[in-house]
Amino acid sequence: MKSRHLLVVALVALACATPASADSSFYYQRTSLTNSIFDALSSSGYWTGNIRAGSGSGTDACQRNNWIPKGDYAVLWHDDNYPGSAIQGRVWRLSDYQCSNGVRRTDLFVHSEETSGQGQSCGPSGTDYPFCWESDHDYYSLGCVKLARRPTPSDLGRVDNFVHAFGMATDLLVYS
Amino acid sequence: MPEHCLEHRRALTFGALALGAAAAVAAVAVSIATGHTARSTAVFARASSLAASRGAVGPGLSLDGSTLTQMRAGTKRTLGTVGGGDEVIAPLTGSLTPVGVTTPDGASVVYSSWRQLARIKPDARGQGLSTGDPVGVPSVRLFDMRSGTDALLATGAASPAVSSTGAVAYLAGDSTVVRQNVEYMGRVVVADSPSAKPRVWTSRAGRYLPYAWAGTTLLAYRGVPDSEGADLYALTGPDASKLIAPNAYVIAVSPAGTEVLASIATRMLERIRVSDGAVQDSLALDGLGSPGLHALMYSGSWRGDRIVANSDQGLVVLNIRGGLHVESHFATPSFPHGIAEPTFVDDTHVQGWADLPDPSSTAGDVGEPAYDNALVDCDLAIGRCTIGAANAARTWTRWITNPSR
Repeated sequence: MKSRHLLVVALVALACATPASADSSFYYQRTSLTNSIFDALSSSGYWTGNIRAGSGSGTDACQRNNWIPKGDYAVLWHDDNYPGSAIQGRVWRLSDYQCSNGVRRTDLFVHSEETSGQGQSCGPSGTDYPFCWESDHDYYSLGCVKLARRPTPSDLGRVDNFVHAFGMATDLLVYS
Repeated sequence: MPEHCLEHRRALTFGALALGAAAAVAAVAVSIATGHTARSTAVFARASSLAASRGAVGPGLSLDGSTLTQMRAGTKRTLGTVGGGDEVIAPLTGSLTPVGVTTPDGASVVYSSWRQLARIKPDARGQGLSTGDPVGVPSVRLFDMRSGTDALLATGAASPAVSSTGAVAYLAGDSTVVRQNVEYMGRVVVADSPSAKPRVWTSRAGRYLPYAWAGTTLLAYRGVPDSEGADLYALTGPDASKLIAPNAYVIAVSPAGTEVLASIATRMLERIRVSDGAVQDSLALDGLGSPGLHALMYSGSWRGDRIVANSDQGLVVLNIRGGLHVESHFATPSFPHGIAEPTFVDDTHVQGWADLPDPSSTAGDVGEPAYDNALVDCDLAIGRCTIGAANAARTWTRWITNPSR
């Protein structure tokens, strides 16, 4: 009886330990400024499914503020309650990128528009609030990849829940 | 005065009056057509496409890789070699600020250069670099066109701006080396002339990038943390600055240097008075209708009532007369990223540079492809552009002017 109990405990511990050793990769199929496809795939084979995302304000990837260049980015760190001045809440920091024309793209993230407490800070309509997801115009960015943060569904929450369940993201592949 | 001369003058006077009347009728016609009072004599189509062909561009002063050249009447004269062995590119700014600008006497060019330290692996994760790896060294240099000599002004420096009095501003980095995933911080310094000792104008370090002077006021960006976005500041002296537009970039400085047209949070255009940041006029990009504009790009130019800017939909001409509005839109199907840094050289001609079609993929086709670039010279009145010789992506060709007023 005691050995069976120990076996169950060991199996539970193993099951809990597996996600911690696994990791995930992000993918961004760049086809549009405000309507591209983002997904996450874990090393254990789980997949988020396709999620709408956006990046940039123009399509010249090798100039600042335009959409993110193609490439394999390292995910440097992740924070669930990031208290930045420009972006907050659930964010993933990406590695810098130097384009073929020499121009550097920096300060790139995967993020949405929410507060550091993962809430919304909205105001009267007619103004674009940086920590409030108001509309599809919020998919525009200065180069970062942006996911929607609506009450239901929250694509940002879906991705965040995925990596916490199946393994932290290690990289983002941007392709077209 | 002899009689025949009087007759000749009368005829000239009559002719001038007739031309004036015709111009007035044309202006009224344009006014009726556009719904705005027209002052500019050149009439642009409301929406059209710019055709393009290879040929001689210019006249003008231009950068051709590491050579400074003067284009005139279809001929190209080499003025000298620039860069001192560094590449003449501006990796920290791209087209956000000019790679080089002329001094007010037209005798010198102050410009950015770059010494690459890192070997980029375009298809590798993180391009094969780790946080803190040295990537390159930016510098600011000066080329004297009279003597043909080139000199280093500062190492660990970027984004020079030269005023109408010859004052030189640039970012003086806290470090000479730009490092991977590390913000490049520094201070704005200003020298009364290229040979004068620079003084610090921002004692607190930031991600500053001077853009241009508006009289004695320096327009400079300060990067917002965790963003490629920046706030636009007006600097008037050591630690004397005023935020004139948050999350903004300059599309153009007015001819008198009293206003800027800026993009605010990419979706709103604002005419802003430099002296106090007061918004004079605005235009929301949402709801403009076909063809729709995602954003107007930085580093356009302003002539009379018109402003020209690049966009992912082609060249856009705005007009401030009768309220800020889009006057014309020129599709640029020959250029995958439009015409960058477009500058009015007269009422109808615009010069800029462009990426060319058919880019080269990276070896593994993971990284962003490389586009050749070339100078471009367009006549908006007839809808035609001339494309100069093609250079490889990392061999920049740019017109050298000065957005300062």
